Amino acid sequence: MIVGGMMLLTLLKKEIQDYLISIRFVVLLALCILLIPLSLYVNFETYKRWSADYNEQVKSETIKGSRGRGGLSGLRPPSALSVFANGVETSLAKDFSIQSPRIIFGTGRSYGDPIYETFGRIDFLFVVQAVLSLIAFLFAFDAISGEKELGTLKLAMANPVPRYKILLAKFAGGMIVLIAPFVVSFAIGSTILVFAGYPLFQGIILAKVALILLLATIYIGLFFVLGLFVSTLTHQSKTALIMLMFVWVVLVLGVPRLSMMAAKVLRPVDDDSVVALRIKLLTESIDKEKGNALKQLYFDKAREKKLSPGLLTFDSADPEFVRKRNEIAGPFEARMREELARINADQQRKRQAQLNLARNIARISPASLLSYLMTDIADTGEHIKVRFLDAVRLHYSALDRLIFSKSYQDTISDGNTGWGFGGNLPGQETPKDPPRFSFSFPRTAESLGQSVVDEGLLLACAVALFAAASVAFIRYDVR
Amino acid sequence: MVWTIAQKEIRENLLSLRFVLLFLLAVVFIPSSLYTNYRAYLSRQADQQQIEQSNRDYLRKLKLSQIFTNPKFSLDVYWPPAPTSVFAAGFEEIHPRHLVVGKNSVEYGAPLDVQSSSGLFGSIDYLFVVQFIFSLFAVLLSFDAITREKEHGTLRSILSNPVGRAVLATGKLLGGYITFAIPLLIAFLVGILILEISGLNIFSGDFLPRTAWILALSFLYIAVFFLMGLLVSSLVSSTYSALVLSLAFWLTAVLVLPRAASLAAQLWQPVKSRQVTWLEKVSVESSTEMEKGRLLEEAYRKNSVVDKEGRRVADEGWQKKRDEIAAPYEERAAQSIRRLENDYRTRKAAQLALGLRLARFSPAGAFVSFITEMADTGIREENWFTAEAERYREMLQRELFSKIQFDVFPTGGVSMGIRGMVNPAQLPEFRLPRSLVRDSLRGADIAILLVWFLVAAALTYVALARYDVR
Amino acid sequence: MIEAKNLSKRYEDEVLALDALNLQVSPGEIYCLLGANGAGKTTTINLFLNFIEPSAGQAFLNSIDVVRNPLEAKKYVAYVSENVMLYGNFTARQNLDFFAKLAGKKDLKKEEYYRVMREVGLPEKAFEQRVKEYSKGMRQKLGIAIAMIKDAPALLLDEPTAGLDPKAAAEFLETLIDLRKRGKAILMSTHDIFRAKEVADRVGIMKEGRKVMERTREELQYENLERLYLDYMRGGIGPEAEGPKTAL
Repeated sequence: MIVGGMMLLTLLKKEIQDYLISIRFVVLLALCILLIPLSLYVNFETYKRWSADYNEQVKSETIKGSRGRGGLSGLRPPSALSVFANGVETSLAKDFSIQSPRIIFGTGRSYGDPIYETFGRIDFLFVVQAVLSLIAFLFAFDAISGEKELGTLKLAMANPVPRYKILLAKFAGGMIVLIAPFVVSFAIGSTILVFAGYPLFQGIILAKVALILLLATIYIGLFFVLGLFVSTLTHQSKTALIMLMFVWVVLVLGVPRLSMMAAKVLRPVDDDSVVALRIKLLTESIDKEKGNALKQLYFDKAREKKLSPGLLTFDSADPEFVRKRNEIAGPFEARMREELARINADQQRKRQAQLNLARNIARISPASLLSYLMTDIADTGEHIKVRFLDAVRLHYSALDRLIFSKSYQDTISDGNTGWGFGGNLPGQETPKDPPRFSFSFPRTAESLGQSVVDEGLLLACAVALFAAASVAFIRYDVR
Repeated sequence: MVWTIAQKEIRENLLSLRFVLLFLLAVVFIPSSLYTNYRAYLSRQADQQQIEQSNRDYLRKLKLSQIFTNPKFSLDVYWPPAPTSVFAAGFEEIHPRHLVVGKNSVEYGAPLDVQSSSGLFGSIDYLFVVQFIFSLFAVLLSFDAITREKEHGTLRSILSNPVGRAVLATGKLLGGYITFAIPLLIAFLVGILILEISGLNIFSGDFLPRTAWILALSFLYIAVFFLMGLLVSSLVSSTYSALVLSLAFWLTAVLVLPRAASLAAQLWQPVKSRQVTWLEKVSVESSTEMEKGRLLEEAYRKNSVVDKEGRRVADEGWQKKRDEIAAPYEERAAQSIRRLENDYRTRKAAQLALGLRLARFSPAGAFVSFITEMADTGIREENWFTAEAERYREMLQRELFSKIQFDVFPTGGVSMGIRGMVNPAQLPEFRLPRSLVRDSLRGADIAILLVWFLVAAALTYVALARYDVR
Repeated sequence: MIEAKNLSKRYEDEVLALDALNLQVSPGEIYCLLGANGAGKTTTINLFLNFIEPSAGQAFLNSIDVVRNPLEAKKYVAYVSENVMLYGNFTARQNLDFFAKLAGKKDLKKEEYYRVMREVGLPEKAFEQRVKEYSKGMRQKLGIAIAMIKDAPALLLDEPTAGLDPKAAAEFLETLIDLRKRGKAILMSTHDIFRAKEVADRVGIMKEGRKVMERTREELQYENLERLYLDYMRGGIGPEAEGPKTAL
């Protein structure tokens, strides 16, 4: 047993030494040390700025009754963990404003940074997902086939050493050499963050960061094992390399994008602007119908008061008039609300369906899986978009109940002339201080709950690949 | 002699696994992505037309009363998607394609969707395939061009003949170039053919010239990477070292550098967010309104009489007095807002320019910059659209805004009116001129790629001349 | 035809790989260079082919200085390396075709290639076979074929019989003799004393960068080459005085 252990240790030491003196280790080290702390720091700066902006605007008075086209607005808070995984943080609208019945997102005042969007962004997620996976392949492609080509595999196996130990030593050696620079850079980056003021130890953040690190490690391990596996499939390192590059392109570059595109094609969702247009046309047509129904009532009133309709003001002192008006207008307004709710619910449902499909397809590749997982944990994933939209609609409903439903807007037209009547319905008080929009991030249990399955998937994949590599290596022709 | 070597290279490559895989990826992804993006373009175009039609209807039915009773009256202008966007999809959403032209400034309209860009991942389009896949495979084809012959011994066989090193380098370059030109050309032509069949008239407008430029730059871009691989191969003696260095180069040039640029630009010149600028504009406007209103109210009291029914009516001198008082305030407001606007725009443009300059330093960055511009979805196009909208605003200022009068009194009264002739049906229409190929052509990007190419070529020739062939 | 005058090579790490080599091979002559590994045989060939530059002295091929005019000189020499290396995925004929063109022989017909391959003893079915399936002997034959189709007056062979079975080696020697009859100047480096004795017109022994001995065929009839060789290798007898030594 001890001899066996010593053999393993010998193999392990040789593996590690081999790697440490190679160019690829230097490249790995350089990339880790440069990219990880830098990306963490810069993303933190961006987060700080947005945070400051956000706080400033929340405090400012313009939330209530802004000088826009009249209406109420709200802001989306930044997520502290976006420092590790940007996700949709910068591309999702940061604010909205309500001009009943429309909700306008992004209000056009803050588009994403075009350079950011055109050239892509660097965050910790990207470094792990794209850069380290490629390097893992680079470390693994000639693990078996290379030794065969050199002839050293024969030499090693002329000794009483079981095959699985060789593979184990290769796996452990490679992992140690891959993970060490990665973890060290991460530590350096986190330290810089803490000194710059990042609330690393606040609340649940530390636990989440630890989880992110763990996931990254599993992911890198998965790619390394995959590389080992492919290395056992061929006798020429060059072939293994080309195959792995192809696999990398497909898994890291191809599938994630494909999943989104496929979901958009299979479950299309109309753009917001199109839905807004649909709502506008609907509102106009219902308004017109309502106007026609109310025409007689208003004209009668005008004649009674011997005024031209244009000079008519709403007579809140006449409860009979009010009652009649509400009676006629009621069903139209109810229908409008219903239709609106239906359109919005429909849109939301479609979005969710598209998202689910995209996520399912994305499970084919560990790279996209990792993206979803990390952005889930960082509260910057696609699910945040849905959550944000839900919160906004909820807010709108509350406002509708408290404010919008207590005022009226009637548009009457007669041939070429038109009159608009609007104001508060009598006897209905609107609160002086309308409720503020509040958005809360999902609770940890909630956000982790849905990702447990995916995390399991990632782990299972890695284990399965290792098993496959073992089997393949057992049957490997070492001559 | 050069052709002999090139021919051998082509034959060797054609039989290799990497070529087969590259061919597969190209022929599958390019035509299918072109087609998919074309469908998306059609749908977006239809949506856009619907929105514009609704806008036109609105303008047609517009009444004078609606104009002057609305202090924030504005017109919407749109920037329709271009068919060449099939080459570089997903970039339209990041630029405002809808601007709101108001009295004092041009603001962004509501974005197309609650989320710009394709979210977590980019999209698959021609740009993606060439930028990542072709460049990677170009490097994979060339990284061992020299080292494998050396390790194999065939390098000595070749050089025992009257073959100069420069001839060898040229032969290798030509052979490699033709090797990846084949899948690119085939996939490209198939894609264009599919587009034509699907209804896109490739001969209309400037689609073909733009496409030609895109193809040409693609060849240059791929050549740069092939050369870099060849260079690395000429610098080291083991295939393994060549591999690691080439891949490291590819990683850095294609994945890391362009992104790092935007990071750096953000740190360097942070700009006040547009939101904050907008808030400042709003506050300037409202405070000037208030002051103006206060003074006007006093003046009104002095320049009006009460009529029989107890209502206040302005007297003759009122209009002149009103103009006297209001003019400086309106002027001041307009100027402050323009200044805030220009301030923001200049600083934003500077940040953008810096980011672009840094990103374009890498061949991938220059390539992306060139293609997005040529495909009519570029960053600079936004400036051009905004500039046109500004011009429109100035036209409207003369024809419309300067004739509208809107005063708010502190006591709650509002006075509005039109001075002069305004016919809503005859308001000038916004016409977005076609952006010319000439304007979309970014010579700097071409130059950057050429410099990379030439420097790499020169270094390769030098390295190969001193290469130890034993 | 093949001439070295005081040819020397010192590497950056001060190792003197070749010390003032003087050598001449005339047309119709086979010269065998013997010596241990690292004695300078391969360095000599590398210098002739201008794969490295000499520190002193000159090398000539067909009276052309290989350093001054490498491309011109290479027209007159054909090279067969140890472990003939070919393009594995190509057939024999394709390999032949490629190197023929490099040698300046354009527009050769298929029959030409077949003829040469037949001459060196390759079986017909191997002509259009992928070279990676060839045995060592066959590769070597193809290497000779490549050299023959160039039809250059000088031939440089680096350990040509290393790793060949006796039959293949014998066949190779026959081809060599044939080439000598055609008037080629042949310089061959080898370990194979036995075969060197059989075929060489002159033999040179190299030790630690110096040519320490040279004997003609006639002289060898009276001296035991093996014994000489081994004695020198063991370091018993010093080098024979031979011309001025260069001070480097």
